[in-house]
Amino acid sequence: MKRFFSKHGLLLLAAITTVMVIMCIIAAVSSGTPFLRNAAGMIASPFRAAGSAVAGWAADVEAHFDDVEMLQGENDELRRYVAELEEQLRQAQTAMEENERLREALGLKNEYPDYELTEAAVTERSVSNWYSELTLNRGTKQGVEIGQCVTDEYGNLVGVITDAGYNWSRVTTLLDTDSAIGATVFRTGDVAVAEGRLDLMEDGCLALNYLTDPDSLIVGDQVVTSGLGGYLPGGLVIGAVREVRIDDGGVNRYAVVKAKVTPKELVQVFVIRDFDGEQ
Amino acid sequence: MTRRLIAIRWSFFTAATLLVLFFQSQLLSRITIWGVSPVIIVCMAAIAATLEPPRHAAVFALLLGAVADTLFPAPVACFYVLVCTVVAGLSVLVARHLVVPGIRCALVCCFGALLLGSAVCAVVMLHRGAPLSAVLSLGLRETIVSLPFALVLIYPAFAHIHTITTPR
Repeated sequence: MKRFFSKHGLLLLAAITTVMVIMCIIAAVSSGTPFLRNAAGMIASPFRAAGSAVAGWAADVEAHFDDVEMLQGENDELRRYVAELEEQLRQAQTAMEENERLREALGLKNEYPDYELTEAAVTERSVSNWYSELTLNRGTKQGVEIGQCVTDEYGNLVGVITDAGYNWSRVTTLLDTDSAIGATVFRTGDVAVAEGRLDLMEDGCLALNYLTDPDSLIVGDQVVTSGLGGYLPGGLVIGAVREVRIDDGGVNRYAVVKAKVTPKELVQVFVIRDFDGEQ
Repeated sequence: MTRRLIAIRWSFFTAATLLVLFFQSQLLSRITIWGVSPVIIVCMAAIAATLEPPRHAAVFALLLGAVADTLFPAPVACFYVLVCTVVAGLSVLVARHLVVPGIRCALVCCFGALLLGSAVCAVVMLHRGAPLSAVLSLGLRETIVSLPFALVLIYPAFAHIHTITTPR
């Protein structure tokens, strides 16, 4: 072998060089892809694809982490922004509710100019299921006295003051079993007594007793205070007739009246300290 | 047990009682389950009586009743004084002779206390002409709804106070 290369080596080198030069000339002159380049490319192609895939994956991972960090930052910022907006919304909601109550109160004062009203907040609901009472933050200091009646901002009857301290008072609502209020059916003018009943209290209803003509009532008839006797002002809305029933004795008939107010939901009320008893 | 320890114990009991009264007034009265709100005032007298000596329990029940009668409206005068004192007496008997003091004893005594409270209200309502079915329904629902609240809110606090202020 050594002898072959020493004898014909120069000749072989010259032949290879000639072939390569010829192939280079052909590659330079030809317009298509040369065979050797094509073959090398074919062999390298899978490796390139794999390398490209790995690089792409790495780039994706990097981009993913960059995105996550960016999104987390953005998310934190948005959360803070949402919290600020929610806080503003809460404040606005409270302000709107207060605004509405005060507007209604103003309307109430305009509607009943003869009434001397004292605004009061409900500080405690009834601590029993057997009666329906509310505790207010106004008392004798503000002129609140036992026997005065209490309405909501729409002029619906809530109840009557039954206990009054220096800076607090207690309202027995119209649903309580102790409550008995002179009432009139607005449409018919029928005079009756609206009384609280234990079995109706839970549904926010009361009984309209001593009706002269229960058959004349229709569902939805509005019941208001009669004002007779001068203890309570007349015309305050008590509720609407829901149905007519016969009592357990099977003799007397009474109307079930759905009260206009829901004592457990009241936040603010008005005590009518004085009114024109003649109306 | 030293006087100092007794004073500390009852200071803790007083604080816990005032907290429960505040909860009753501001939180529980706003909750409505099965048409009724939980009322757990009388259960404090019952649970304290199962944990403490009879004399202490009786004084606690009297004071609790007086405070509750002052703060909250009731169907009859001295309703809470009457009910809390009777409940404390009965709870002492139960804890001494029937059920070993603990959560089961508290359960039995609270159930009895709530039933007694409802029974007194029921008698007053029946006297005022309320239908028997409505009275029974309301009384039972109030007892059933109030019982878990009493055991969850009062018993752990009172039992803990009793444990930490008992000398080993």
